[in-house]
Amino acid sequence: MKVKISDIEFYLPHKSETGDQLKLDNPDWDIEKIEGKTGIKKRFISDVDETALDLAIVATERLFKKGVKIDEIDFLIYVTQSPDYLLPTSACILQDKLGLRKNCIAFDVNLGCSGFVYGLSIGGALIESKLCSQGIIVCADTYTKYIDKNDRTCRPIFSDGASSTLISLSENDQIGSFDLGTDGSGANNLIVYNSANRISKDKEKNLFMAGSDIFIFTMSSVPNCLNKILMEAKLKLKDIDLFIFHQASKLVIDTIVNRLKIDPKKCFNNYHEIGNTVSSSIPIALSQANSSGKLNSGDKVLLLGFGVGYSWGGCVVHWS
Amino acid sequence: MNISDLILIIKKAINIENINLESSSENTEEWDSLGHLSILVALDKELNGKLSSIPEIATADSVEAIIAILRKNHLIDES
Repeated sequence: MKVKISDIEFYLPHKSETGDQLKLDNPDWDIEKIEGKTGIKKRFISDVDETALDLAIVATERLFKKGVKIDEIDFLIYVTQSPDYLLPTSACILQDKLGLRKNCIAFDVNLGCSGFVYGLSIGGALIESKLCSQGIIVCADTYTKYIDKNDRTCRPIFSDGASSTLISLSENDQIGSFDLGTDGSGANNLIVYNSANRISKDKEKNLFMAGSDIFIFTMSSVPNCLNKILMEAKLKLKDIDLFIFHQASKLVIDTIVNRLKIDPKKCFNNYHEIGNTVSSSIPIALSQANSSGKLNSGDKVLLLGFGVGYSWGGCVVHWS
Repeated sequence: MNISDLILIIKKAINIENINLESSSENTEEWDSLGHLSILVALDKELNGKLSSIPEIATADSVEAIIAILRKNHLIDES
């Protein structure tokens, strides 16, 4: 696609949490063991009256402060599974709050860990079709609001955050070789029951994650997806300069890296200090990789998100 | 991999000595959800990624259940 990532900004809530807080609430948890497996030492937690939309607004205002002209934004794709309301569409509220034009395309994408890559694919297609010249992909989630404080599977992993990514028309093909996929047979393995119209009387309205099933799904889908991307791009593993996977946890990323024989130095991770921010995990990592000097112009970056749905998506970005 | 190898892998994965054919998540404190993931990671490595083609292994939470699934998929050496 003749589309490029022009800029990324992100925002994390002020409140954060470490293993000390987990231990305080759950004295029987072995924090050292949990952190050893997840690799996550710090997570960000939104306030009770702070929603994903609030985080999204701050992240996008940061982007606009850097000189992006608001009236030149043609579309807003809002990736979230933490909407303020079932209706109206959060993107419509966001369009108004950000002061975007009224003829701006705005819609939600209800996806989690794969959502950013889907956003890139959809936004890129809008630009390639010449319907639009540039737009923003805003990702924001507050999964921590769905998690019981005694849930040892979910609480040590998930974190809240938002990102805003500007994509625009470019002269060269800079984003492409997408592989996107779905397997809804895994829907019940990462789910918030009773969160909309379907009532399950025997279920709590909390995030439920079947970690082992998700792990098996990941180990099955990620290698296939990555191989398809490389084949489509006519690249070999060694041609990729940087890998950015969805920041699920240390255990998951280490297994992917070992399985695919990826040089760990070529894999950028930030789960240690940020946790798993769901839809924002890839754009935040991409932004941090860039700001920390891990990315150079012309580098080939492979992005790959996977999880809730099940849903997965990956692509290659030629960094500029 | 034979059954002795499997037991050794589980011992190493959850870092305890006392694992036998009767062990399960019910009777082994260390075999919690994190421990189970560690077992899956270790088995996946041992089987060179073949584990991911067996979704039912995700819920096999005893040595007996794991053996049954591996046996069904011809992934255990019976000799």
